[in-house]
Amino acid sequence: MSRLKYNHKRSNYLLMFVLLAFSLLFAAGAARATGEAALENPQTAEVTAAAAAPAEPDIEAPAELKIDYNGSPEQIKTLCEHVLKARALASKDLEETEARALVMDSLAQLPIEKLTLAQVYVHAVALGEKRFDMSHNYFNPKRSNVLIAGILLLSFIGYFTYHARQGKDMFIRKIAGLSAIDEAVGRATEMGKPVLFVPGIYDMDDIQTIAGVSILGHVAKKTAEYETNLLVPCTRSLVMSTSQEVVREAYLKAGRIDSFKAENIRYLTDDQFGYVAGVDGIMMREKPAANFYLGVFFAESLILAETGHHVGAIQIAGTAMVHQIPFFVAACDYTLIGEELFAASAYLTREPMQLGTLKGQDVGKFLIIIVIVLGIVLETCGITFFSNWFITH
Amino acid sequence: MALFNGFLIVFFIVLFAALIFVGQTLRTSQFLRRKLPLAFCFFMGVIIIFQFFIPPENPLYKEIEDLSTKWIQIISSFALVIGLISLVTMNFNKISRKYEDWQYAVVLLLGFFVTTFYGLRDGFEGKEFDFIFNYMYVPMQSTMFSILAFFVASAAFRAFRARSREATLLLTAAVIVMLGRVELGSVLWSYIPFIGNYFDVSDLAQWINKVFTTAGQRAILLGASLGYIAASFKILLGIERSYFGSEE
Repeated sequence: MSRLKYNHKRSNYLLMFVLLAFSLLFAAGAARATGEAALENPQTAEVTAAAAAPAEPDIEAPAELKIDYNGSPEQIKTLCEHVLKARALASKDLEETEARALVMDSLAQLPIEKLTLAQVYVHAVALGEKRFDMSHNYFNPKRSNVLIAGILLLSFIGYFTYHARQGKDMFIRKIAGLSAIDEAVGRATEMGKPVLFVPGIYDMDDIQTIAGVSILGHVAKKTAEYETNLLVPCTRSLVMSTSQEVVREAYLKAGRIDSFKAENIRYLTDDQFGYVAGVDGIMMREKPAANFYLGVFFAESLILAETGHHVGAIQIAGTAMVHQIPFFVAACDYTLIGEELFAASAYLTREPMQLGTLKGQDVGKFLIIIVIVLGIVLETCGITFFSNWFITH
Repeated sequence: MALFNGFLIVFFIVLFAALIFVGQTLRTSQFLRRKLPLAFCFFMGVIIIFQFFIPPENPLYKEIEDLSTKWIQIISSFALVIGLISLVTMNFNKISRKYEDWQYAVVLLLGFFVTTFYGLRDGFEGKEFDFIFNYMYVPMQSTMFSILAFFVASAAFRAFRARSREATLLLTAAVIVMLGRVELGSVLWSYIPFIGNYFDVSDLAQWINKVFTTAGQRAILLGASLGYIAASFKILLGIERSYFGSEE
């Protein structure tokens, strides 16, 4: 078993590697974004030359712009609107401030006293073509905010994971829904009825499903110890295979592999309401004493939870789908709301590494609160650049 | 064409059986069971993150997107076969061992084989397949969805009991929102002395939805999004491995 043990020391190297990769990516992207590479490229150089030239045959300005330019704010506004429209047609996202910057850049490069609005428009769009030609870039500067936020969060996680490994005590608040798992399985054992686990209706590519399957491992360990039947109807084949492996390992670790029944972890259908009908049927026939709904849920959430309530099961639900949380709160005994579902693995295993990531996540949340308050203050004062920086493209 | 299709089906069944055999033979290898999936997970995760930061105009963006979509389709197709084998085997066992309510398994298998037969023979446009879809599948789906209305009523009845201060607040907000959503609510509201003519109940309902509900939802979303990111990092770095079936 020692070969199976994860070498925690290696996490540092992984973390450093990811940080290094991100830094290199950022540096490469920034270098590209400055246009150094673009100038060397003949194709981009042609576009630059075209933008500097007084006429642009490929871009035709709207007829209403064929009037002399007098530099009034109304004219600049009209120009911006047309530039925005042109960029939207070319499927490039552009903010009004950016359109204004384009127009101003164009004006700064041209002998404006001899121009019509139409000529300014043509030059502004040509300048935009040059600026938005990202086909040779490997980093999108518009997503630098996401990159910085990601690196910050990763740093917090890395820092607290390191401290957790050093043996620093990490406090984690009580989560009623997770503490009630043992109680629910115990109740089912006392009543001699099975436990039903529903891992949501999404595939293994969703983090919520993975979080649900992680909790399934813990539930399976308990059902193996108490020798209670565990039913896991799945809506995706990959979830079924993963669940079978997770439950098998749990039974193996509990020393009850002979009690493991692979046929209890079954595939029903990929169809949403077909799956609901199947699970409801299982509930009505098997009458489980404890129901777990952990993963991604949509309209089926209330149908499942209400059927479970009618058969008298103790119910624990958890999802990050904000529109389904009220249904679970109304119909279930315990509900893991949003982030609590993702904290389950750390809460149940109490592994220092996992607790460290949880602490890092909390610091990230605190930082977001500060940013929100700062954003509110600055927006109220009419300063918009701060909140604009957070817009993702 | 039908012969070719049949040959293809047989070929894939044989290929799948061979893959299962190879997988079963190698399943004891710790490298295959633990390290290789972790390495794949890390490698693919980094590539997808890398793609997110590439400008969509760069051809590499499209190439990664196309490649990942194709791989997802291939893996899903194989996964579907696993699911179907489980479904058919389990229901056959149910019938052969005469478990309780085994008759339902007969209906399920009959439906499965008949639909598959017409689907493979005529495609999605076939008359029989179309009949099954429009006159059996769609009505059954609608029936299940319509049950939701009754469950909403029964869940609301339980949730809206004024047992505590919080439950009373919930009940009050719910009554206001319900009144604001129906025409009759506005009429009834207008009869309430003092406040009835001061403002409309639909405005109040809208305000509750826009301010309180949106604020609560955004708070949950922020926490959940951070949880998403942290969980993704944990999976990429191999800290979270419980979905492999081991907590070690």
